[in-house]
Amino acid sequence: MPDLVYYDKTERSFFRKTRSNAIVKLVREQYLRGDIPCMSEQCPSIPPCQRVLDINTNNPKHEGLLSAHADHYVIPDMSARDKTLGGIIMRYLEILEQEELTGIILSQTIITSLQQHDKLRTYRKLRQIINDTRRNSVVFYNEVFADTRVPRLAGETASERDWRALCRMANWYSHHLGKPIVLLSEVNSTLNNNNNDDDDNQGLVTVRTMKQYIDQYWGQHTLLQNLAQVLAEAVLEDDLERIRVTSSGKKSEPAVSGYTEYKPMEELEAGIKSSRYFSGTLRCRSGTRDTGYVNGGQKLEKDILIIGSENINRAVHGDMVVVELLSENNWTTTSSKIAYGGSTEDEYEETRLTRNINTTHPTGRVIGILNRNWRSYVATIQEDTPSNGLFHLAIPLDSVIPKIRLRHHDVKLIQNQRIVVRIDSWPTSSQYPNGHYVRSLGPIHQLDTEISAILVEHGISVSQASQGFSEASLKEMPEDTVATPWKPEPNEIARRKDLRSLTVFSIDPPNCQDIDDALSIRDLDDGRIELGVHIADVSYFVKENSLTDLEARSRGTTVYLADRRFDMLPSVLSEKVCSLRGDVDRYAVSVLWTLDSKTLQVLDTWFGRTLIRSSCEMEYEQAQQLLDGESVATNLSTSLSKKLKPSVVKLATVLRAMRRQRLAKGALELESSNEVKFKIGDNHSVTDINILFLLFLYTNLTILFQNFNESEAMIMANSYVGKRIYDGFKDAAILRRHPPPNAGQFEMLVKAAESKGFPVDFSSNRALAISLERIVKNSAGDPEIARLMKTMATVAMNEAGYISSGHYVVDEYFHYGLALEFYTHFTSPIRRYADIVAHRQLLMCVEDEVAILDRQKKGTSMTQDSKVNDICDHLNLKSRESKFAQRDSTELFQSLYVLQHTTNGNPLIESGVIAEIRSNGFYVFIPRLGLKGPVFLMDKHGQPAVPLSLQSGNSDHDEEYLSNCTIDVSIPTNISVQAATLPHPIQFNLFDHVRVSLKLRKSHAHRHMVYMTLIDLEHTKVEKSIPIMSKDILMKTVMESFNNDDKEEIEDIDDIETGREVGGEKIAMSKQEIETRRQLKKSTKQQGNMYDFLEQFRKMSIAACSYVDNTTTN
Amino acid sequence: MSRLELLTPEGLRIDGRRANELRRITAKTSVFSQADGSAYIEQGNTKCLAAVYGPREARYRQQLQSDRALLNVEFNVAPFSTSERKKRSKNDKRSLEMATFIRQTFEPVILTKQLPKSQIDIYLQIFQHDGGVLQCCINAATMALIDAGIPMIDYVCACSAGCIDKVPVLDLNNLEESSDTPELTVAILPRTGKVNLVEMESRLHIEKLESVTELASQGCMQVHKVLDSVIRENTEYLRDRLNT
Repeated sequence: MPDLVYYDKTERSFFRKTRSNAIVKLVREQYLRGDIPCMSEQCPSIPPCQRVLDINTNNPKHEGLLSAHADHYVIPDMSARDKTLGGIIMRYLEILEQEELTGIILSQTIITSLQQHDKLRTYRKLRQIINDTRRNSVVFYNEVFADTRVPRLAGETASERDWRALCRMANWYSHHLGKPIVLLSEVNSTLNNNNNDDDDNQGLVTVRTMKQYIDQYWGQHTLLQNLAQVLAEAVLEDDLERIRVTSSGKKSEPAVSGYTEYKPMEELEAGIKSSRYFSGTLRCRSGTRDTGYVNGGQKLEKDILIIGSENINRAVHGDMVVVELLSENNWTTTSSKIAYGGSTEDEYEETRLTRNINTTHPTGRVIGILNRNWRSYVATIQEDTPSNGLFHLAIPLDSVIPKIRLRHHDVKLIQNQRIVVRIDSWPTSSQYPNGHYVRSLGPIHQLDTEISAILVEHGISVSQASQGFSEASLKEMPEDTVATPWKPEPNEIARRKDLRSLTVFSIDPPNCQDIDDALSIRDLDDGRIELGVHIADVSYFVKENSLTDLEARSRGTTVYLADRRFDMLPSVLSEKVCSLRGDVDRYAVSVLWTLDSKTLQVLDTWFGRTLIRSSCEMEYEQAQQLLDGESVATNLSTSLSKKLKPSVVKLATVLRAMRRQRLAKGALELESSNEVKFKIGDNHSVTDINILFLLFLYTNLTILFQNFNESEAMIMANSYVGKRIYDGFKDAAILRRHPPPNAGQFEMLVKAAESKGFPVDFSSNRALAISLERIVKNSAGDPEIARLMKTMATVAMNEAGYISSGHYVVDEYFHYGLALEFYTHFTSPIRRYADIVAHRQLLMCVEDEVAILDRQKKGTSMTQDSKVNDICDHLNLKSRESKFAQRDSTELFQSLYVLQHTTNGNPLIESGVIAEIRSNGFYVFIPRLGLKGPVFLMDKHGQPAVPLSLQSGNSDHDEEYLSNCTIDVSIPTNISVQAATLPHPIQFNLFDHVRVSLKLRKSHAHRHMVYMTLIDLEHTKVEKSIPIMSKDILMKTVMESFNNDDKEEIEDIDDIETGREVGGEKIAMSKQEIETRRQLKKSTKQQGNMYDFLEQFRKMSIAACSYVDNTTTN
Repeated sequence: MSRLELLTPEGLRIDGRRANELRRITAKTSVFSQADGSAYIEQGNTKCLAAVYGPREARYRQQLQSDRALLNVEFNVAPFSTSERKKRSKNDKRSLEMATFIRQTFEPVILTKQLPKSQIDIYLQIFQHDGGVLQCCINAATMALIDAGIPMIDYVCACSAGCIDKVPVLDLNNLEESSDTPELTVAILPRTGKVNLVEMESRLHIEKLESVTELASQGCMQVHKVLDSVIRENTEYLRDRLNT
């Protein structure tokens, strides 16, 4: 127990308004300390002040101290002329966030002030900077430090005192370290030194505005220069605005069309507390940015609709808003129309919205904003903008975001390009928000540009997008070249369990580069069986808090897009040292089960680090051949086949038996998981990430390789590891949970199924699985129905996510989809960060020497609930975003496919199934392309527009419409069209087969969008097997035409590079970036073997798998 | 409303203490001449006065116990003790419960068998309330009892500890208490380390119970050090006065 280290005690008293609006005086103690560390590597005290601290605190910060090499440190200030603006911190946060800026000292003065003014988002962002050890930035608690504390004088304003506190702190630092300190402030330009005794350090502390600072220290850095310039302009503009407002005494510009000023914060807070107002996150539906909704919370149990831009009142999708309800006679119903010109948004949200249509919704209006949630948006300058003038409108790619007014001196430079834009402000006098231009991504409708746009929209970091790792982090990596191949170290060999004599093999799709799991099985002497799962030991190479680890953590997952992937780890790990290749020694983390040979009960489980030598990288087909009784598999030598065959056969029998056993036990575990797997497999555009990731690899395995059921072993490994780490760290284990759905979520599915005469019982996962199975069985003639039905079930379910066990109650750990009590992700550390965390936790649980040593040496945050929880939240976000990015890229390729097949004027006619009925049309799912698109039966004005071809049966007439018809809609199952010329009404039922013509709506500011027009109903039942074109072939066709363009594109890049000086165009693309891009190009080009390429695509497209499955079964 | 960060990632609390630090304790004995023993204690901004009367003749005959002394505790919170003025009666449930806690804490420690047919009254008054009232009262009562010269087997030292974001935190103040932090109060006999009272009214994860209890008892030992020095100082003063 330490002795008391505080020097003195003071009191802080202030007045505060209570809930009942009484004003009370509050007194808080303030202890002044002498042990606040300067957190600098250069600390002159002996021992350095942070070392002293280590003894007293639980989690000392060892890394990311202020660097000794930096030539100056920066202290930002947040005072501003106007309270709403918030000085440097608020206005120039974007610059502070730039990775180049290091050595930022954040004062407690600012933190307190941010917390007092509810700027929690800014605070969190600043925290991110501090937590990033690469930034070498720290927090300094000047307010509780005896030497830097500044009491408020009588008659002094709070901001004056804050400024004095900052000056005092800057002086202290310069004294303490003898380094130049830069105080960043927009308002104060002189140091306040009246309390400083000696002035010999004067030269070291300087006050700069952001612009001066950038000019002085970052004169060469164009990106920073640009940003500073743009932000300064925005600030200037605001200032001018204010001057105009104040000088004229009243509003100089009238508020535009119904925009009103927000109510003061106190009023909002009081209103929310008294339930007069409601607060929540504003969400807009795609294509309808003037209609939004806010979750009404428990009191209303419905969403609050906000209709019209004047009611949304300058709020943007994602903002935390305060809403006031309108009087009840203004309440309306939600429309279930298919939006014109929007992409298929989050289907989960969509279903949630449409669930209770036809009931009146509370309708409200935004009267205040608690928190802006603006991020970087990808946008395009409006097509017909005049090239002169300073202000231009940019249309964001995301259709829920309003157009952004931005200022750029030469619009020609950024026209017809996708650009990154940030919103700065939205005054009432402006129809659109004001923003600024950040950088350009490239010309519109080029594959690379569109892909970068997808990456930016989904928050995938630049470093991951450029596939690069910093040199420093690459230095941490082991070496593995052809000349000097990587070899295990002798002392590691001694330390690890040596399993090199064991027959270990991996089963993966052909040409897999990153093999992260392998299997083994053998008979033990006493008649028991040992089953082993061996996972690449990534955590051995990626030490916690190393640069690679931090980078991998921020990436979260490997992102697979339709045509490329963005790795989480450097390729030397993912493809070489960690990949469990054949015939080389590799480190692994193994789970070994001892099974009873008869009952297959698990008798014993062993976890730990091992050394393995995989006998063979088997492909599915080869394994299947061995299993089918062939003695030699293709491309395998006779001896190897002989060696492997017994293992493969044995493994298959054991796993199959175990699966049967589990089913017999009534747990129905795998059954339910299989169900979900297929569901996901069936529609790649399912937004629900659900079980997707876990099934991501397993679906492929099970479906392609059903007899073998390797996935059984992986699920087993994951669940055992989950249990083990939970036992080890009850309050901080990383688990994966899948919450059970509630009844409301299944409403759509039940109605849809009833229309086809199937009952659906969703009372438990088992019951649901059985009902779905029955649907599959009974609709054998029409596989699409079952497929769509399963998709609906999947969409209805909740998302699975990572959790830290300390944040949830024990009975909430359950994994609904797999029906497992504990589940985690353990088997793919190469492509998911969660697995790395699980590895670390597991190894600490089993007291692995190296893990314990690391922990002692550096400390670990992997056992702290709050840290693990932060990581979990981040990973959930990342996997969700990467899922969306995947979906977007698939859509991009689908539209390219349609574009290529319709350019020559030929219609692209496909048959599909009606997947969803809406009030102005329906969605059609085209199984051949895995594509879901809208068919409109009404035009934009609500007039019926039913194509004439329905009557005539001639597809040429699909642009002409039936006259005088009326449309009757009964959601969600039926829509009927009546017309004078028709003998009887045409009925469109859910799951009816239709023929449609695919078209592309071209767009300047958005991606091209696929839509469909109706040709006719297919009354005759479709022939059993529709010629199925697998996704692979789709990709192939698309890519073939792209290969032709490749040369050109490479030249394009060259142009960009050289054109930088020529055009004066400021393309923020580093040389390295260009180089990587070019390599990427080349690699795509060099893949003469289309198979390699398709392999990459396989990884993202589960849909493909199910098609293959179908073709094989048919 | 912003949720205050009670414990920053750097391990500092709002008032500048670290997780394992007590608030400043100042104490004084013999503050009244009327009472047989009295003490005044400040733990941070929680201020408490204790007065002990007795052993004296039992006031009500029927309460009198023939083999031991009767212990009577009255606990009162001044209406001006918090930022919002609030009158609390001496007989409200909270106050009575608090008094019972304190009585039960001291009953086994005071050698009541040596003082049969008598009554000991402990009056406790909170002047300023900034969290940790129970511990403050117990500490004040111990000092007042010692000051009154009532035979006891040991000091009773109390201290509270809580748990913020899974980190055990010593000696919560009002701000920390009021934001749903689980708080555990422990009273121990410092010489033997025996636990005399454990009180907790909120939910705390079972895994954390051990570390929180451990921290609280460490805090008790620190409290003991302070109280002991105050008592010794006072005794020395008294001795000096006797000698002169």
